[in-house]
Amino acid sequence: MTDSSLDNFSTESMEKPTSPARQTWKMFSSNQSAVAGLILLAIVLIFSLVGPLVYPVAPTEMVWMPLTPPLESDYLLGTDYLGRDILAGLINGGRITIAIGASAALLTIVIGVTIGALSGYYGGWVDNLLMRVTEFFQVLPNLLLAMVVVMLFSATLTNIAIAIGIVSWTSTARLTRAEFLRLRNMDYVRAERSIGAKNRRIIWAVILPNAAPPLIVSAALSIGTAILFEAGLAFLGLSDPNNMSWGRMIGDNRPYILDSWWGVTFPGIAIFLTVLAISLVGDGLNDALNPKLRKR
Amino acid sequence: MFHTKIMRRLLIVAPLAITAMLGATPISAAEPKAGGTLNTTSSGYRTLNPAVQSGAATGIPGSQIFAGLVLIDENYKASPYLAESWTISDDNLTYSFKLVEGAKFHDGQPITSEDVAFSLETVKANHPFGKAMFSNVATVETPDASTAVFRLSAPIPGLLLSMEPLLLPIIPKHVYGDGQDLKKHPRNMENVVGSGPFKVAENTPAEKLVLVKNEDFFIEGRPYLDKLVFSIVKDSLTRVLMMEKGEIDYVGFSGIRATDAGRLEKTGRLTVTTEGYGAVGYIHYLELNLRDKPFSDLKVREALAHAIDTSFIAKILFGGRVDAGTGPLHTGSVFYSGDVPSFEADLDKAAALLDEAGYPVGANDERFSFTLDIPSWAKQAHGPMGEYIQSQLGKIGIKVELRQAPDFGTWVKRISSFDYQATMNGSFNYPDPVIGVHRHFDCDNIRNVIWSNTQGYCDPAMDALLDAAAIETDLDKRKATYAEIQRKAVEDLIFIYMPQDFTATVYSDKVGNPPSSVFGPLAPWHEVYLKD
Repeated sequence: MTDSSLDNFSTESMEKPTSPARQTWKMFSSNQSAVAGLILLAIVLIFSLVGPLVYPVAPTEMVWMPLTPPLESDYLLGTDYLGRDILAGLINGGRITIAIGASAALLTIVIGVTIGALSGYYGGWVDNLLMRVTEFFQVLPNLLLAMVVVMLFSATLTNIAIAIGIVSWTSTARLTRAEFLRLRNMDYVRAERSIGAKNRRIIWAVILPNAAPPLIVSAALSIGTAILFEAGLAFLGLSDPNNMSWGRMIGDNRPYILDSWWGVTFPGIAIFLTVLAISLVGDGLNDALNPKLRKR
Repeated sequence: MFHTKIMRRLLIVAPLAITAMLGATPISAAEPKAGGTLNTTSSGYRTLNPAVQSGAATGIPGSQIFAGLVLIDENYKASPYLAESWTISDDNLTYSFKLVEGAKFHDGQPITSEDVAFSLETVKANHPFGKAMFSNVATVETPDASTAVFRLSAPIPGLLLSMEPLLLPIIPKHVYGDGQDLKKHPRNMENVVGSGPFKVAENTPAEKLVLVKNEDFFIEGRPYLDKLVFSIVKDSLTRVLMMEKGEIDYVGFSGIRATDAGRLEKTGRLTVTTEGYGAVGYIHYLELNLRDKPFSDLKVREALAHAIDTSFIAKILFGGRVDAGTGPLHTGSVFYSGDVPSFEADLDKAAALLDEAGYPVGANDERFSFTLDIPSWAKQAHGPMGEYIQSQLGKIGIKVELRQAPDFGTWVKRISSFDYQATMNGSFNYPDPVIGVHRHFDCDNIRNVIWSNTQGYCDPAMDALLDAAAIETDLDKRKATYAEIQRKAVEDLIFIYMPQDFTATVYSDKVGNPPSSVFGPLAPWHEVYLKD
């Protein structure tokens, strides 16, 4: 009797613990806008990665009369000032745009996390020095600095990604520093230290995984920011002339905007949807990863 | 209203319209009226002194502020301006000019022959093509205050053409003769003292330039206008919108796209014309560095010429509003000759030529690759041209890597130090080929200077032709020599010529007597007036 009641008790209240990933996914999938964002993102990715196989028109090929409006030829979204297919540009430009966004975001995270972690963990003069450097980069106008970098080293995909990376790491650095300041005197960190763990291990293997949730969110959002930034640079004429990207399409077609709304509108919509999707997913991740929100 | 319609059609049926317009003049009571402010634009300038700087940005206001000895009309004929008369010796080696009595600078000082001599020295020493224009002027004598005698060491057939205010502005010796470097002289921008129909009233280089009527101008009753306001507008789209809204009434060197021209004409108020640029002659070309492989090989250049369809570019890029362009001379030049070899668009032939030249298709379907520089100063024309060439040459296995120059200086450095493979480029013919054309072909002009013979072309036969043309005073013989020069330039494919530029003037129906000489908007606007 007692045995069976104990059995009942254990099965009811001691559920098998679910893994953190599962928990996160559960939280995430219950958030409708996050799921919508994820679906949208999947569509964008399929469009850009699989698209070229399904729709094999080269984005640089002059296929039809220039400035043909949408739906007036075989080329669904019309043609640009040289008679190039806008749809082909969107499909092929997507890959480049996402690649620039992702690599710039990666750079942002690498620089930001490194500086923030060292600063927050060591404190003292290291913190002072690194924070002054961060502030220096913060007070420089982002767009101007990126323009200077691209102009100095010529507009190639790599240089554009690097330029975006080095102007946008500061907020990540501050975020990381704040997390490290909060976590560095936690009991489990002290415990590690007391058993003689090296600083390197404590920073990268102990504190960083615990500081990860807000950083993951920040990384996701910075892809969106980087894509917008790339479009901004291209709008100002700073884009790689050898690779089609959405930003470049907007920049190149801008002078013809009075005659062809489609040249700038479609890449604009593509950027809008992609950044929206990334933001929704980022917000969803934020809710799902934040333990305080999880209790609600 | 009738008048406007005719003006609009001027472009299409020029001869007919001119006759009709002459007939219509008394009916529309085109008695010029004094007064009013003309609103126009400038793309921004670094100096207002055309004696030390070429180009339209300085030249347009510069020709209003400074006067020259003569004016050139639409038939390249000289008429009196600051010089009321002149005589030319039979050997064409002595030109003596008599200055208008009582002409004064804006500060009230008289304009004398000393100023003429000083201006010539200044231009010769400081202007980018001062030497090309005046190196054969040995001295300028000043027997009295109103007589200037030019003594030449060899004939200069186009000398009078270079006496326009744009090319030989008469600047005050008492202001600029203080020994300072003329190129950096503070008075080029501040407190400018000129000799022309308009004076500087307000000069805020980032915003606007205001010129007002010179009440003491040496031509009685001119200028008609009280004021010129140049708003600084760098973006062509903004200019188009401002014109559509009627905020500006006149734009020379409009820098608008051919695709926007139709839009402006549709307003019914605005006229777009490419007339009046004969003395400018803005041409575009693909410049290849002839020193290195593969472009040192004529066969490769021929292949490129066959692969690039210039009439396609003319149609697509310039809306069919410009001539495809055949060679080094603009079709508006008196020396233009269309009798040059042509390279029909034929990709198979291009491929065959490359095979012959020893560039077979290799790995990745590629024959060879090269970097094509796109300068920033005419990006709206050169950018799309480069993209077209990249796509077109890709079809015959030549990989073109486009390199966008971030600024003017970077591009100039690359080209003038010969550190490039190919670049889109363009230049002005100017009124005489000696100024704008010889510089690209002359062996002696392979210099580290932009728009010289940077591509490194040298052929003694060409040099002999150029030397003969430079001093030939018989017009027909000179024309024949230039025809030969054009043929040879295209035969040797020194450059691969692109369509000519769409250089246009846009003006509203309020503007009377828009400048129509071969210098167009670069000539003085003292005859321009505003209708009621």
